[in-house]
Amino acid sequence: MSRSLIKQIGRLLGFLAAPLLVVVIIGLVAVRRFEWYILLGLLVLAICVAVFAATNPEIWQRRLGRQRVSSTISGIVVIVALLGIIVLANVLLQRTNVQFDLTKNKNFTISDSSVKVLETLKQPVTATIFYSQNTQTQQQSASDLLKQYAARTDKLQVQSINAELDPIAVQRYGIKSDPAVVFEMGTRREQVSSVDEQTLTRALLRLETGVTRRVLITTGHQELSTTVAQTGNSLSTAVQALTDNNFTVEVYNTATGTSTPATSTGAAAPAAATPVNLNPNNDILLIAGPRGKFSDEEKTRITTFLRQGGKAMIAYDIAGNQEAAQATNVNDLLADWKVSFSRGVIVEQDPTKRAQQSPTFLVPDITGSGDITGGLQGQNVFVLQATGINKDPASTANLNELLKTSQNSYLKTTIPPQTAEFEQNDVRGPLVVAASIEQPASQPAPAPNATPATTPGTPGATTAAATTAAATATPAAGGAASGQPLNTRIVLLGSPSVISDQVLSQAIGNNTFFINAMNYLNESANNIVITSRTADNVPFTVNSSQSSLTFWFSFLGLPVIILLIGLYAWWKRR
Amino acid sequence: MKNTYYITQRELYAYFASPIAYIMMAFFLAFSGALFSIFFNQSPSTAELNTIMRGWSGSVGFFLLIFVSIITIRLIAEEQRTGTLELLLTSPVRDWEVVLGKFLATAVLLLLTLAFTFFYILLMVMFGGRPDWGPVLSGYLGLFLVGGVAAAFGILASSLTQSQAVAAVIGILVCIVLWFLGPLFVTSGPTSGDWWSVALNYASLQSHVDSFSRGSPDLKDIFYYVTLIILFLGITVQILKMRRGE
Repeated sequence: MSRSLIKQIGRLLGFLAAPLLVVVIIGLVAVRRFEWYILLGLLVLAICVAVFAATNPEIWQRRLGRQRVSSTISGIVVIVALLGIIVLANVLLQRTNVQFDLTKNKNFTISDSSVKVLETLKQPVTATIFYSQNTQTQQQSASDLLKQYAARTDKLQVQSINAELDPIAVQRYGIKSDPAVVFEMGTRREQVSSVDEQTLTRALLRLETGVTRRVLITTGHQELSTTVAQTGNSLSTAVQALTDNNFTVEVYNTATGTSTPATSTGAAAPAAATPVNLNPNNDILLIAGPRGKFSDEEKTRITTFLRQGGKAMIAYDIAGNQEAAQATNVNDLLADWKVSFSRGVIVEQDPTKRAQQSPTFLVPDITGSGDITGGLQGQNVFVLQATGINKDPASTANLNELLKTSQNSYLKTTIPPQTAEFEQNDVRGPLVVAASIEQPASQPAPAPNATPATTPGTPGATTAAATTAAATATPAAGGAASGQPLNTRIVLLGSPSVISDQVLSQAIGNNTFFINAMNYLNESANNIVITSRTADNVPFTVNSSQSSLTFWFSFLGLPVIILLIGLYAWWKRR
Repeated sequence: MKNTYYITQRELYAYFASPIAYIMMAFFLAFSGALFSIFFNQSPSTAELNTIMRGWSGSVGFFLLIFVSIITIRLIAEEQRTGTLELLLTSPVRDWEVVLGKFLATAVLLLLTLAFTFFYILLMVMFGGRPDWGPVLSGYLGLFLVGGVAAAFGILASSLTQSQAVAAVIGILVCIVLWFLGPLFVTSGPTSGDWWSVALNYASLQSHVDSFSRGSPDLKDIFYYVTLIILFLGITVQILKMRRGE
């Protein structure tokens, strides 16, 4: 391009700058805000002036007389214009949200499930992140994630509030955790304390549908307690995980048909027990290792609930049911689906499939790729002292095997086992230690309004949200009212240890397995199962010699090599 | 561009002919190595390559700023002191070619220095670590851009004065202020507060490093560093023009 042509283009741009300036000023006066198009106008204006000033310096020189002074002013004008362009371009770019996710497992890309939920938002939603000085990192993660959400919909706005600086807002929103994210849609609110994608998306879906699921943990048969036990044989971690994931958790007395709110600390809620009508549209039963027998009335209550399309997680505790005559009759609850727990203890002989060198500490194979085990690749689920799960060939229920022992395992049918060796009556592996069954409901569910949806506030959900959820317990979650028949769904565990504090508080795999299973039981969450995308981190062991080797090589070795190279170069030059 | 290439070559030769580049590289690698050791030994018995590299690349940027600021101080200041700048500016070379050539030479030295730190990855791979290359390389890109900003500002500082000591003080001080701008003035978090706290936090070099070190660089962060480099180099060109009275 010739020099004169560049000069002419520069003059043309300088000529255009004048009307553009007028347009920008009129626009600014009209909207009284720095909207993106005003900023764009300013950016174009700055570019025009800069190009004009840079390509036609003689005009400045002519007007300003002495060359030295004019070149200084011309230089300053170009610098100011360049600064303006760069500042405006950066400000304009704030509206975009383009991230390049370079991690192998795409840890920073929101899933299609989240996108689907965002696309269904009908009303504007505000997401407010509450954080403190100590949780700035989580705030940043939540903010990053929610900005990705906001990029996919014009219905979501994101803001952050420092809880330490704005206690009034904390009180107004009823914030119970740090950090916390509150979604608001009109008068409805949903609050969550975890800032991972699944939790946020589920909260958004609940906000949209207005439904909060209730988990009823049965009591009265020496089941695992929600109160923290020293032995780790309790469910406080499970309760915390459930409340974190926005389930309402209650302790349900199957004999009296009443419930009380459950807390993860085990502190008994002072609230009086309230009567509960099991609602297949909304409730999930958790029967964790009962050791006593269910009465006929209890069995009827539970099986009716399940036949109507209810959901349950049932764990069998073989260690607590060694006396056949005294053993729990939990298998009676499963008679309709023709599945049962075996009477025996699984012994694993494959050393790679057991933990702590104990043949009854199982690390079973994770099978299937469905809702529950799909996100568990590379993780371990630990099962202690388990029994097997059997399906009658006559059963028509759809059984999915979730966790399975190796071929070298076997079920010791003599309880308690006299020897760890295989005996004549023992059953050879592989054995199923966790499974899910699904079958269309055999009885119609009661109409949603026939059952009062007693959904009290939980630590994870504001009262406003719970009340609204109860009032609008819409059918979107419970398929029956939306015209779709419900499915009975039951997750069977060969040992309650899978969800006990002893294991759940330490094993990430068990945690993921539990939450996935509860999501599966929460039928409304079918469309928003987000496989956990953990970083592809493979830890390696470091001994003390490797540690010191690393220090000396990186701190001294490398710099000394550089100095030696420098010394050699200097010597050669001499 | 041919002139730029020659100037880059000449400056690179000048770097490696003097002991200062080696000494500064050794100093930087010593600090960097100490930092790496801290992250490596954070967990007593197990380590994870990407976590260590994320911690290291998120923190070593400050030392990189100091290192680059020091190696760039002589680029124009020395030419002014010895009088070779007049010679260079009166030769048939454009101002931007001079500035770009000097910047590219520093960038090559910066790349070479960062390449030496691949030794850490090699060491961890030998111990059984398995890198996820995306976040590792993205961390390096972030460091390179931070170093690029320091180099561009170092050249600008060098063009302002004949004294290398003054240029060094200006370069290092401004880079330190730019690095700590957000944490120094913004205590209420990155997305809350007044517009000025948001602006100060955005202007901070440090606040843009994390997206690179975690493996998810944001276009805004890349653009921020690149525009800052362009701004500083552009100002340097204008200063040279003003000095020449063009």
